[in-house]
Amino acid sequence: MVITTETPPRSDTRPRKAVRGGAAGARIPFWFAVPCLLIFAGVVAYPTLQGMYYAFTDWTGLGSDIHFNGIDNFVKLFSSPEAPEALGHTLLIAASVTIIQNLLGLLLAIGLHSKIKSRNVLRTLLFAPVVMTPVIVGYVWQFIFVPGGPFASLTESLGAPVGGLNVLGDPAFAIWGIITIVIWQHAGYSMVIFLAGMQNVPDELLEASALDGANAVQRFFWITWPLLRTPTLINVTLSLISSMKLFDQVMATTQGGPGNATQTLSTLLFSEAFLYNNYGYGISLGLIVFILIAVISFGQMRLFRERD
Amino acid sequence: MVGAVVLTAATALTACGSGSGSSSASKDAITGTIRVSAQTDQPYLQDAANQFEKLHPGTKVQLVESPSNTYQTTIRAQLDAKHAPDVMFVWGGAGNAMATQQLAKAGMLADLSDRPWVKNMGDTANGLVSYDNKVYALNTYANPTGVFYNTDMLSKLGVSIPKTFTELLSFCKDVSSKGIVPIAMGNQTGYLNTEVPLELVNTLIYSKNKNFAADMASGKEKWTTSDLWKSSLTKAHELYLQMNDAKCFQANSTGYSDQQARQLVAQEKALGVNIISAAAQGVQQANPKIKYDMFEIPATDNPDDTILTMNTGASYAVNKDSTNLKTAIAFIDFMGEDKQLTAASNAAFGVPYKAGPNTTVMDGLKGIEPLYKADKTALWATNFWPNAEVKQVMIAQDQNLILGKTNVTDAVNAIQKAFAGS
Repeated sequence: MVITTETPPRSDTRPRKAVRGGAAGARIPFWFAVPCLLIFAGVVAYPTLQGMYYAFTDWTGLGSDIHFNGIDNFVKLFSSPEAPEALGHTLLIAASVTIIQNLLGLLLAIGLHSKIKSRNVLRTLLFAPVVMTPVIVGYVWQFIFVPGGPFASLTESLGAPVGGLNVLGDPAFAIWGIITIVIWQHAGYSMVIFLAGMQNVPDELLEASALDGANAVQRFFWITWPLLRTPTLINVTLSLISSMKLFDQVMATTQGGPGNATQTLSTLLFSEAFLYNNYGYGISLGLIVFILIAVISFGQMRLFRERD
Repeated sequence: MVGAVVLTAATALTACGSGSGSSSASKDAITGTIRVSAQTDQPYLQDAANQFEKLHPGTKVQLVESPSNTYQTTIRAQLDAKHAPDVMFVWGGAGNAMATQQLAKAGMLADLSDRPWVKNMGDTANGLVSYDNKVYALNTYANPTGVFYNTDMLSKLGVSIPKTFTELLSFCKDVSSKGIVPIAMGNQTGYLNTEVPLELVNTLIYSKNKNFAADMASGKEKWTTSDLWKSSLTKAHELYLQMNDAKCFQANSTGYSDQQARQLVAQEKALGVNIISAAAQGVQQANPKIKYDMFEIPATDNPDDTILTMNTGASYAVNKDSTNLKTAIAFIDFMGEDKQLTAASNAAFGVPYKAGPNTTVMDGLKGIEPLYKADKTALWATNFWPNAEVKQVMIAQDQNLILGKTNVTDAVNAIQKAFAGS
């Protein structure tokens, strides 16, 4: 038997100088990025910074009559009952959606990672709601949840008071109705990401552990789950961000009602900026949402990294 | 973050905007191109545009339609960017970002006080689109509001249209006892759930003071201090709860959207639905076999007190920065002609603001014709409110009221607080 070994090429760690003429492997000169950076600065960075400035003004959104008012908008934000209430609803939605949607997505992925014959059809069906417009999804669920509709009839047959549950019309249930709609629409998205992660788990590892006597549950928790850390991070981050800025489904179903039972930071922002002409105040709400999402996202990324 | 993105987009539009108007036509000639913005579902505008182009060869009217849910934000961003259409659909009053008085205050509209149609509009209509004693927009029509009902079902049930509030409660009890919803309500949809209280308010107020709107406009009455307003608002909400207790509305009405409430009528599960006439066309289309009519909800036991509440229809203003001001104003003048106003009213299932001797009311609205022709009408109070926040507070309070989560005193105080904050 002849054993041959290949010596890997020595890696060259020395920094290379930018080379003119575009030779293969040459570093791209920095100024190549200047046009893109200018466009980014013009259409993203500058308007964003300008928008941030408006959070400290009394701008109505009309005309050029703008006055700097310091932190007045933020004082109003934390002293009014509406904003903290909307923040509470937003955090409840974000936490519930993130946990339930990802658990459901994981369970669906486990089910569809098996070799059942209809797995491709089921994957398509379960992913289908993701590509639907959230507003349309909201309208569809309005008809499912309407008093006398399918869900109300079901709950009535299960023992709810006559007429069944008035999901979107009762403050006690409305927010859970919206959480249900969001999870129904996006669980398929989480499923796809988990599925992709599962397909990257080496078969040899699973086979080796099976030979060592591990059952399916043990194989999942000892091998598959630890290797799903990256898909989990992606799923948690995406679902957290999308539910923190939830707007469409609320506007399509309850418009923040009944009362203010489903008012979120995004719907409150919309009302303040575009209905009440409190543009500056609306932007201050947007800034708070932005900071919240940034802090939570960085926090969880750091947590995952530390565990790695 | 979506808010930040939306606002960023809006400010980006502001930052990127340049130039104004849409035509290079001479300022003294009725010629060239004008852009006219409209919400969708304004089909008569296209007819008006075609006729205007024939009347003034060399002109071109480009309609720029936007869905109602994005209209305000889109046009407002264009206005800030000095790139708004020459003629714009606007709202009367000051209640939203595209309301005439808000835009006029910001100096964005051309003064139309000297136009020939102004004298035909009447004080109420002109008052809605005036700021600082100048008229800034043309009101094209109004939409009556009331109970749009199935006339055949009414006969079958053996009940008659209530003329007094006491009769209304009996009517509701009779109809609901037969398993039919008397008045379907889409209380989930914000603006709809305030309609009945506001109709009741109008009868309570204007039966006592015909000049209430003018008094508000002149400052003689104020929303925050008017005893007539506050007592009427309180009384109206008490009557609203009495109607709810008498089963005038379906159970769990806060779980129904406006569309779902209209479907109850189309499916003949409800006798009628409280609605603005413009939306009644949707009920007719859902079930064209049904014959409909409309009645106004009485708020007192004197039939003569009842006032027909009307909503402002489409209003049109001219962008002050239009580069084709002459043609834009000529187009507004053209739309202000009687023939065009009638066409606009009919297309929107409404009525002209002022009933003339030859004014006819369309089938489906005949029931409110006596009130309309007797000029016993009043516009929504919302049209005169100083900000949009009051309406949003009222929407939330009225939902909580129907759900038993608040009481009339607290609800009215919350609404009044929103006025005080303006």
